[in-house]
Amino acid sequence: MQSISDENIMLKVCEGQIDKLGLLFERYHVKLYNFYLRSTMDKDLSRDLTQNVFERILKYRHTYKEGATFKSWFYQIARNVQVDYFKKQKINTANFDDVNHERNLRFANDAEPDLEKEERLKMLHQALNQLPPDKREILVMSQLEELEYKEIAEIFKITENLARVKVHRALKSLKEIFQKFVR
Amino acid sequence: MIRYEDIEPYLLDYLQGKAEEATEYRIKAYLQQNPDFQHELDELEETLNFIAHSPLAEPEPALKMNFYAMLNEYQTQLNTPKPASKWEKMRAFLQSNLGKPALAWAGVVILLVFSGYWVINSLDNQALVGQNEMTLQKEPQPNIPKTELQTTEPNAQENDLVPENKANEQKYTDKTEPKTDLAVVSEPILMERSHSNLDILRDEVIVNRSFIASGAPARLISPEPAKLNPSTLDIPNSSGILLADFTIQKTETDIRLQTIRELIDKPNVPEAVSQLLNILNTDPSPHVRMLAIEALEYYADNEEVRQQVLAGLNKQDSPYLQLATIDWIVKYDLKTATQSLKDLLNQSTLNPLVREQAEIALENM
Repeated sequence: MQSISDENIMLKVCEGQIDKLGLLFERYHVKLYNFYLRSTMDKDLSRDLTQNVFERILKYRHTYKEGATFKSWFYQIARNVQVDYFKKQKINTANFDDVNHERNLRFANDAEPDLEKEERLKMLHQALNQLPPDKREILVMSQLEELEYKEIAEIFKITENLARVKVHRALKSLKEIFQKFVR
Repeated sequence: MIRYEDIEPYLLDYLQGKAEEATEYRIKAYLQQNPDFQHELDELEETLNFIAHSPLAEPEPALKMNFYAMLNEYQTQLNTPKPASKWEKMRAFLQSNLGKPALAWAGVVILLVFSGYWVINSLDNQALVGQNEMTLQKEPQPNIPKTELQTTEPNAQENDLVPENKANEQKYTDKTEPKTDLAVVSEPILMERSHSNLDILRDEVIVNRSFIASGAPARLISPEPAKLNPSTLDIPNSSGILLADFTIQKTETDIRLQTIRELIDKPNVPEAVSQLLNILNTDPSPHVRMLAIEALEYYADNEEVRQQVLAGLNKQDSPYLQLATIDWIVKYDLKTATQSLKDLLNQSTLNPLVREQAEIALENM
């Protein structure tokens, strides 16, 4: 069954069918939460920022233009929310230390402990934490949030080719960090 | 001769099998020219695989609850007609009564009476000002502070999707300050008059925000006496009466919430589970029941607990609880929930948001 597109749902939200935002929330909240979790390494903060994005969507729903890719618009808001937060807090994302990281890196699926899964997540978060914020962000968007290069290019206002190169270089940096872990 | 810069943008597509035929050919040609490059590609592929197999972390149920509460609040705001302003009321009154001579004369008389009263009163005041100036020179007046605190009663009418202490929720503003969970805020509310007081309260809220997830023993919101010392509040002692209003009382709901928190730490699991289930099914406050269902997540690996929570789906009248139970069904993949969901969907008065979620859950079973 062909499901209704994000863009069509968003247009309905713009027309006043506010409850339809629930559908977009169901589609994106876990991904968005993970997007923030991978950037901030803090699950409480990630939850608050996720909530904030949906509040902004409601508040600025009229700024969504027909024909625009919803995902790009959505992640642009997500980035703005994050930037605003760190501006307010005057915290550089790179300043999260390992203690903070360990303290905050608990997951809601604790009820079903899966050591291998948890270990994998932990390792990925540690590696991502060592990437510069700009590389981390673009890599998370591309490989974890599964945004297309075209969408990434729209978000960062760069060419699609440059988006490809940036993602590749970020992955290369991550690979080097993994290699350090192994040594 | 193929250059690295030409193939670099397409390397990930190549590794993921998404590259076009021509691109693939170029990359293979480059590899023939530079066989050492294959090693780097292998390592990149390994990293990609590692990422691809990394699971997504599940957010806490509070995120969903908060979102739907916010959505409901927006909808309520949109559906509530704005009250007419004083000017609009006056204009409507004049429009409907203009041309009625008796009313017009009555208006003129009232206007004259008030004008006369105002003129006489202002003459009296001028005389008094002179007298007061002389008195002030003799006796210095105490400095009466303008800062004051005020308490408001929570709204007695319980909104469908809004917990009983909705009045205490942080408003859904555009601020990125951390929000509170709906389940951990106590009932009285302080209106902002002094920033320092509000900051103290906000700190308390943040501390209490996620105790369920952290497993740490939580405190009820009750500002410590030292924090409420008039000197720390920048309020002179003369406002002591107002400070008395600032004391936050523990309500019955607070006590029941505290009970749940204690149950979480209880070593006797069966007893804690049965008490939590009892609270979930019988407590009059949806707020308390919400906390109980969140606390029951600690025992969610127990099949019996899951089934007991599921059994309560059609008994819960609060949309909040219904959403939380549906969340359980999805999260723990409760296949036995099909009939319960269908029964829920048959309820004619079901909240549309709950209906939507129930339908999504049913579709995914």
